[in-house]
Amino acid sequence: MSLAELLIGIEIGLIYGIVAIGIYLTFKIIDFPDLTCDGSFVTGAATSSILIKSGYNPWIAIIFAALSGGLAGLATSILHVYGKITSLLAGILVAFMLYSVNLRIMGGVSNLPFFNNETIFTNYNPLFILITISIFIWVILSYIMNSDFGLSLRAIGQNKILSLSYGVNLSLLTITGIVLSNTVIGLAGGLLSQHQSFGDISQGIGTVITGLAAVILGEKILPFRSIWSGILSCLLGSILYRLIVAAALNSEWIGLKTQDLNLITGIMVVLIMLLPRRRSQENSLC
Amino acid sequence: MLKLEKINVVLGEGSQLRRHVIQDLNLEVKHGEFVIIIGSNGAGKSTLFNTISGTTKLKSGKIKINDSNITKLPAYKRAKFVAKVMQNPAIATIDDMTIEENLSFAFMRGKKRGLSPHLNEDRISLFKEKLSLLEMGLEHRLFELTSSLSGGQRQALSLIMAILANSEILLLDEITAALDPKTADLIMRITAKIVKETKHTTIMITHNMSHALEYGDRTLLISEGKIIAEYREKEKVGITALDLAARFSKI
Repeated sequence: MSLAELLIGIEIGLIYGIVAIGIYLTFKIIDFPDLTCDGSFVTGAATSSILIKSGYNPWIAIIFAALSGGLAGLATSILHVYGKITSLLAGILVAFMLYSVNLRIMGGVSNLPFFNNETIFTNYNPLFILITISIFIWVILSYIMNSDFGLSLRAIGQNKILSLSYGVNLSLLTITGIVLSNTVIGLAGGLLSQHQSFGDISQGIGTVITGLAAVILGEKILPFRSIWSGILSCLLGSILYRLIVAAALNSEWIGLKTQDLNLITGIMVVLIMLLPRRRSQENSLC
Repeated sequence: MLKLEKINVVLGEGSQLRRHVIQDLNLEVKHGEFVIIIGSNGAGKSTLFNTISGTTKLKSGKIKINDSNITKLPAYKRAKFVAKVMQNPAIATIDDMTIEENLSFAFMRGKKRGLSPHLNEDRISLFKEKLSLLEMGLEHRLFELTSSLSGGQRQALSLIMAILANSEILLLDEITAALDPKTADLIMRITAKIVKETKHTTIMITHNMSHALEYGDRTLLISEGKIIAEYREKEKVGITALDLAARFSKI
């Protein structure tokens, strides 16, 4: 793997690391398996692409990408909290509907390139920009999760009955958690579109799985329980995941090609999830 | 002061499993009073607690705390007035949080949970002071996860969590049921001491007849959603746990 490929791998790893942080917020913090992200990621990318194509400031485009992702999360949370639709189905439904919404946002085309427009990466080193944004998100979210408000978000994910008895408004907190998660994911979608200089309707396929792979891998690298390390581990897990995948695809002797990406990802997730279980089973037999 | 006025609770309304669990029940618990409730399974004790804490709706009647009518308040708003310690120590605290985080979470009961960091010196001093009431050494383990505590320690911690924000009413739902007899007695002694010191208006459900006689200002016997007997402190003198169990089994 060349240095350029390594740097690109780290950059993409950081972008999907931000997705992983969003997934960490729903799956781990508030215990809500949210599948909206396959759609909200593209909503962020589509919003960012159309705004840049229309001549808006790329930073404004990033902010609106994040907000559009948050709106998608709001739709899922309302379906779940007030419509009483199960978490999985609410997420799948919204992600399904977002396909049409995202096409609408992009003006009816499935691919919206903007190679000649300025992006946030045009005048600065992309790696520097992405590291700065990642650190910003890491610090802000860790601070929030270590506040009284953050404690109540963490509490609803762990023990809803107890949280209610301590005066936590479960509906409001669940909505807030899902919106926060998808805001972060929408922001990552905006970053990817600007990094690639195009928005594409298929950019979100497999976002949940790659995000989860990063979260699980990150937990192995930083197995500490603090929120600071939990959120940082998403970024590190995502970078490691990208580098492993890039190394696998670049190894001619293995014979893998780009089309094998999903297969490699799936196998990696399965292996990471099975290995510790296998070990614990062995321990239980002793 | 807690006042229940002619409350009725029906579960499974509209189905074949419809049950009139609480029937025209009246109860007044004065400020600082410690009331024990006993009764067989299905008598309506836990439903009564759920009704007071707001997780089960009333069919009719009123619930008042210090003359404020809280009948229509949702459960999360009622938490400001009513604290509850659960039966199962495993769910009485939040496992993946430290003792300090659990206490900080409990400390904000009934207050606006903002973006200020939960960890600060004032709170740590307060938590250490409250935990020292338990005489279990938990004040030296503030930053350990609660999952590392024993069942008794967790139940004691959940008691401190419940009294931390000075809510008016304290509900103790069979808090010693999942503990071994020695730990159960220890937790009961600590509970009685804390209730006396903090002057909480307290209602406790128990199946332990010795505890029902030894503790509390009065003991109520509930059957089929009604209070069918009441033993005040003087009337409890001379009754043994076996006597009470015998009366209980005649219902």
